[in-house]
Amino acid sequence: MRSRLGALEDHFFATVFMGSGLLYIAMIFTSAAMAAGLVRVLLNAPESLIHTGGYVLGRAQVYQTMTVYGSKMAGVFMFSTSTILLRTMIVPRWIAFVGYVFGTILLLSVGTIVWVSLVFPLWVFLVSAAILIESPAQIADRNDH
Amino acid sequence: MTSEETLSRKELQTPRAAAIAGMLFGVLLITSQLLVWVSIPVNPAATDVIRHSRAVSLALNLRPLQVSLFFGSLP
Repeated sequence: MRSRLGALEDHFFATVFMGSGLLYIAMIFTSAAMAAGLVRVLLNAPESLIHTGGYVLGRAQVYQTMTVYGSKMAGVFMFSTSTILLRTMIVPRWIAFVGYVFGTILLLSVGTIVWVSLVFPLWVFLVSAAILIESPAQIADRNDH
Repeated sequence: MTSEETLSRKELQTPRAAAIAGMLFGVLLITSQLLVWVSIPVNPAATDVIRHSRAVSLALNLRPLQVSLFFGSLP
């Protein structure tokens, strides 16, 4: 996406875009590492984890990291990306507006709706598909109008 | 084909590859998320996790691939 932005890329939004993207990745890795550790210990010595309360604590940490903090970072990423998309018009405007709506849902939901984590990959798929389908000529045509 | 044409063709290929990476990231993340949801309930007991540890491990092992694809979609 940044290749298409080129000289139009705004430094402030680019920093937020990269920063939130990297933090989202960090949350994915952290929660996955915690969950994998939890599963490994559960398979080898389940009693020690269940009786000490370690399982409940671990599960809550995985949930908080991914559903609360990860979702917030995904929301910030969607907001910054949607703003860049709207300014540069490299994809249809409605995709940017969908990004704002989904980003708001992610930022405001405090882990209450389970399916909410699916909106981020869905939106990334949508933006990527639009970039793949649209030709540079179509983008130039849209920017002229 | 001139060197300028070759260069512009290479430049055009980058967003295409990035877009494909982004689409694959979306599909894989949704797949792994659904895999976990289908395998274990929302507040799983330890026994549920042990019983479906293979599915959970598969979903967790997909994470590094998803991260790589996400990075691939950023250029």
